[in-house]
Amino acid sequence: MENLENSILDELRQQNELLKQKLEDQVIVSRLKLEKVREHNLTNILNDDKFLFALGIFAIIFPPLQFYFVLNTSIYFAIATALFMAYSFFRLIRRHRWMKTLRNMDTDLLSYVDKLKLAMRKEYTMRAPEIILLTLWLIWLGIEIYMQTSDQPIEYIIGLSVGCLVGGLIGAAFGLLYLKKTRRRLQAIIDQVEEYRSLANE
Amino acid sequence: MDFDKMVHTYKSTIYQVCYMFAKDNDEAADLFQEVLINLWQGLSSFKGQSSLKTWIWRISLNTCISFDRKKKRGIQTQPLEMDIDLFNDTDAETVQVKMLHDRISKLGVMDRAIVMLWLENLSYDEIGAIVGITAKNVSVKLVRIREQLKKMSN
Repeated sequence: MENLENSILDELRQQNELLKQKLEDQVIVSRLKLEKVREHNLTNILNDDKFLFALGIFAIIFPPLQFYFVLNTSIYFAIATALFMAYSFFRLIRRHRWMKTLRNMDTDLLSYVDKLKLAMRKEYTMRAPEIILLTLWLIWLGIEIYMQTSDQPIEYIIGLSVGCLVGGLIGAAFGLLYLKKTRRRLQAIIDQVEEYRSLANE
Repeated sequence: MDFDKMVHTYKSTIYQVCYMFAKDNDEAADLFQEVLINLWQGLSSFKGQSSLKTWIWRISLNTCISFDRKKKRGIQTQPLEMDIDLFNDTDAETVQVKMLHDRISKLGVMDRAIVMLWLENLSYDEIGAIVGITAKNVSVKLVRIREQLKKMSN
């Protein structure tokens, strides 16, 4: 009787060792955590955009009015500024829609990572035409300010220049930080997916 | 402890437990996901009072013991990536493993947990600490489990 019991238990132990051996050779990965990271990071990006929408609408209206009525720049410059802000706002909306689609996308991982990388290249990188436009706008702003202030005392000119510079630097810093943060979030998702794929291919 | 590393290190242990409590691959996947969720949520409060492996055994077993498909509330199953199918493959090794599964799955849920830990060569104290009973209780239950297994073989 006892021999039977022992042989059954030995058999169970051997079978258990077999099970462990078979499982050790396997890669058992869950997409669940991956989905959570993706959802978390993309949701954060979309939430940040809500604040930028409000800022965007403000930027289309307020600065052009300030330039025209307070700084007495030309109407053409004010309109150009409004158009420039509107273009940025349009890009923001397009990017937001793209991110929303990505978050809800159910596709194979290879396609998903490719789309994320494309998003980073197209939507979250400053492109040469935009840098050129921005430079031209800054030059035009400088010309407009010079034309308005050439007969003003030097203190006024310095004060105005410092104000513009500080405002510009703060705006640029804010923009670059946002871009960096967003790119970091997207890269985190890409890294997770790449790691998942490398585990699955081991 | 990094969650990814932990899952990678103990994936076999977690799946082993889920396999013993599941009827098929889908259920094993459901259980596996549930265990991962519970491990994720509990990792921050794990203070190291027991070894990590013991803690993982405890969470895995408790999750599987209390898992109830009716109470799932529509949890989506995400696919697991594996090259073997422990429920349907017919190679000699898998047949052996299935015999183990068939025997153990006929036991009650608590008995299943105890026998799995006993097969891992844990002491009665360790087994008791994981399942929440005394060492004496473990030895009594193991006697009954052995009787049951003998009857199954006859």
